[in-house]
Amino acid sequence: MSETILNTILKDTYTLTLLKHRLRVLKNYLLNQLFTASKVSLNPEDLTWLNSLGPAFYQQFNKDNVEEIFSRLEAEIKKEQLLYLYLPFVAGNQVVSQIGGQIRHIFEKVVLFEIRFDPSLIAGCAISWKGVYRDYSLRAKIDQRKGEILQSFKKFLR
Amino acid sequence: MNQTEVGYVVENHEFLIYLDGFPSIRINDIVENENGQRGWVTSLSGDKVEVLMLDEGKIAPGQLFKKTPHRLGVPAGEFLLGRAINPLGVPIDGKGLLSKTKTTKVLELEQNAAGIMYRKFITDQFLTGITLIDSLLPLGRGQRELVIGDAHSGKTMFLIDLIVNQKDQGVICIYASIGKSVVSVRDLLDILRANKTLSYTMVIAASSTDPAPLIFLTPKTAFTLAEYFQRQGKHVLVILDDLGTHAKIYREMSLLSNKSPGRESYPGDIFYQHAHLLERAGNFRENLGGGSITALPVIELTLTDFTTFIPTNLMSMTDGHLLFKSSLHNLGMRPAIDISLSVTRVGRQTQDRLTNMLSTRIRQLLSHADELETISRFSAELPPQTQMVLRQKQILEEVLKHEPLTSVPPQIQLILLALCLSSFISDKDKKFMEKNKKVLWQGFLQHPQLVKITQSVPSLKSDDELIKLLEGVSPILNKICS
Repeated sequence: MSETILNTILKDTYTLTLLKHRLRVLKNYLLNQLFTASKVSLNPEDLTWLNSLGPAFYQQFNKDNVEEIFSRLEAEIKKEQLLYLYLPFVAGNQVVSQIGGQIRHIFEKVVLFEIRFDPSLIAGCAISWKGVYRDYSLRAKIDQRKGEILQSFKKFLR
Repeated sequence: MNQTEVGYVVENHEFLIYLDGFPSIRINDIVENENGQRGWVTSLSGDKVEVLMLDEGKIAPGQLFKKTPHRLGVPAGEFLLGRAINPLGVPIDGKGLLSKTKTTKVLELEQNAAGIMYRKFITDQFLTGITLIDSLLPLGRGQRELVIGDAHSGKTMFLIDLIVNQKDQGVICIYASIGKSVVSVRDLLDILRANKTLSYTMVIAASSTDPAPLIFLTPKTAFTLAEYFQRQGKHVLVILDDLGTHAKIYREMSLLSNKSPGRESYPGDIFYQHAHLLERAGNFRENLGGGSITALPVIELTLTDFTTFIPTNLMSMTDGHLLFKSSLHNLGMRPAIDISLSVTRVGRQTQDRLTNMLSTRIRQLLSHADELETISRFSAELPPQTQMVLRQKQILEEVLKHEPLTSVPPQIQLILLALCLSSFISDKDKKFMEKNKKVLWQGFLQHPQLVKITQSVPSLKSDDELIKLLEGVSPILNKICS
């Protein structure tokens, strides 16, 4: 059952940070609903996401299984292989969604990723997957053709 | 596109970190983070890589480490002579960069000891210029002799004497200072420099303020560099000062990495760690360069107890030990070695016949005198024979006393010892020897008739022959001493 729940959450959740945040919000919301039934103040984005899950999703939880389901979900997240994406700019939510969609299209499966800001890349990006770091940035290109670039600059030296 | 292997910090405890990733990493590879802090890969377990940090600095979970093309090693070459470096080959003597070139070899620190087919019998004596060692507790080239003793018993001074006396002997000296204070490392360098020993000496030092893994690597670096010179056919002396600190550092690292503690909380493989190091010493055949590595590991005792775990371990993996006592040091004995409790297992086979016979007689005399000393405590008046033996012992002790930073030539050592067994000293006492030791020494090097005896020592067949020759020149000796 926890697998179905995780798949539903992962439908529009791309990064590990967002996944952890959403799980915490969902857990708080459910505990509140099941045990105290008081009003919870949520930010509009989280509220929209909770509403998007639909009544069928919430029917899977009850007072007896809620803690167990969340501990299983946390264990499953720990097993997930993470893709690190290094970008030379701070990516907004829209860019993250676009990248997430593209990654799932390329890998043909759900892959969680983390975005790391690295201005030294200059342009382009670098990715790290299963312990291998691949640098597709302008920095790597410059490093590769350092000699050529220095030669070109020498022409302008008096 | 650039491609490198990376790992991310998943756990960190002080200098020990665990990383994930690195699909093809090997033990002893070096990894580095973006701040230039280096780590040494020590173990691989399932999905985790255990790394010991060699540089200080803050490590945070999630931090990226990249694999470097380097392995754990040290640059080796003649340029290291006269220099003091840390275990990774970084100079610490303030003399600037090492004069290495691009072709300089970087040797891996972790090496297996050479097998039996590359080793040969220890046949040459390692001359120290110290009468007590060269005659009574001789060392062989390639021997491993433990230097064990209390604090302030003169161990370091003895080791410095040993290095100073290797001048013109063609021996390369490597001093590994393990976890000592920065001040004592600096003092050691000053003494070595003042005695002009730096042309054949190098110091490998990691001070107590350095990260524990770096201190742990100090003896490995010393042996790696010793092997470099040995493979060129040279004779090398390695001093490891001291392995007690090394064991404590390894205990700290092991407890941090959750290895089960054993006796005195040391990990189970502490014996292996020390034995693995010391078996790299030896006398080697020509197919491995032909040189030798003589190792002198040092261990300081607590409360004069040498029956604790690490000292007994080291005793069992060396070819003997020199036991230093602070009580002897306080009595003025230099070196303050307890002859009856010290052992040398292979050194005696390297001595010539004359020295061997003489040293056996002297050890017999000393032990006999010890027995008589105990009995004499109960008697008010002693027979003349007993008094003679006791006086001989006192004179012998005076001969065995070593002036710091001096080297006694082997022939003079034998002559002075044989003199103690001759009739020449029958009417002399301890004070006579104390006053005239240097006069006799100089006499045997300069007086025309005495020089003949000095020159004939190597050709003599027995100690009796030497004693007879010395008794023959008693009038001359009495004359030069008066």
